[in-house]
Amino acid sequence: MSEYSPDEVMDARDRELLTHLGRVVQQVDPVPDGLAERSLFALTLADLQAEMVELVRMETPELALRGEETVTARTITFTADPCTVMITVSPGEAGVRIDGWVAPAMRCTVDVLRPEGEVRTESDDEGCFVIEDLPRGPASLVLRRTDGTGPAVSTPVIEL
Amino acid sequence: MNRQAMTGHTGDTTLGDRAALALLAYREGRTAPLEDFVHEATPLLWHVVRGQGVPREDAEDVVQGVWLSFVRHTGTIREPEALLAWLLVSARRAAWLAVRRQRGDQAHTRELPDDTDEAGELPSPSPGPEAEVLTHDRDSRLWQVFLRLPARCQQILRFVASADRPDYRAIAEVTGMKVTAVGVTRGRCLAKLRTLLDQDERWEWA
Repeated sequence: MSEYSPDEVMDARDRELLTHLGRVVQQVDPVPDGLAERSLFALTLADLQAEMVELVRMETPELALRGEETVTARTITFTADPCTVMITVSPGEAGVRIDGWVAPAMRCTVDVLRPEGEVRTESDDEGCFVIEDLPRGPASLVLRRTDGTGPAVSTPVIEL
Repeated sequence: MNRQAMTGHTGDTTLGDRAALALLAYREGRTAPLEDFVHEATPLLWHVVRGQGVPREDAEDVVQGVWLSFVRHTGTIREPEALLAWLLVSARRAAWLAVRRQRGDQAHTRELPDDTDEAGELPSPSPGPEAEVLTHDRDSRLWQVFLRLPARCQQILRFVASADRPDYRAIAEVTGMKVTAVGVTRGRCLAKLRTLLDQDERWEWA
């Protein structure tokens, strides 16, 4: 067994080892595709969202995994002080479909902000909303109560 | 590969310099340098956050959140040269908070890592099933041995191995160490890794 002195300058083997480690880290834990683009999109939305409450992602609840048709569906829950928003993203005929639910139940406008523009819908009295045929890509959801009370809330930019 | 590397713009500037230039340009209303910088620094933030033990799904949001808090603080960052350090510290703290939130009450009594000297208490990034992606025996050997290093060594080496030309100051920001200790620690961690590999009879040096 050999000992290496930490005081020595890096030699060729150190550098080779680091390069190799860099390759391995990239395989084991790759930086997600499009993360920089999503971050940039989040930055462009930041001005609009200055006064908003940011929702944070919660762990996906187990009940979302309930059948074969949900294999390709993702359920993501976001929460913050005023409300919790759960959305299920599933592949649709033309793009993706979002089924959403706001708790506590309330009527609100739901804007899906995308780099190419936005799509608006409203939730019903139960707090449910559906948006169909959304193109894939980065998006952030912004919800406002239709009665104008309370702060607007926004989700982080997610990949649909 | 990032844009800087592709276009060869890196030249003599460090990542810290480019961060400062991006901030100055952004304040003048020019966003292109910031876009380049976001592309270049996002992988680094990712590895800082993951190195603190944040799960992949949450790490995405943490990285976005760091960039968001940056644009909200552009007015208050006095020295543009300090931007890179500011981002790395923000990433480290946000990652720590995310881990704490996830672990719930159990972690509430813990302190921020730089409030203690107990670097060993940092959550170690879990090996997880990700390691199965390693199809080459040499790769998985190296990864297995790497995971046996102390958490702080893993953080440093992960950062050094992922960054193009990491400077000691950046590593110091990430790990909360003093700049003077970084070189020694990096050397110590590399030495430890090499010793462990030597002890592994299945490992062969190239």
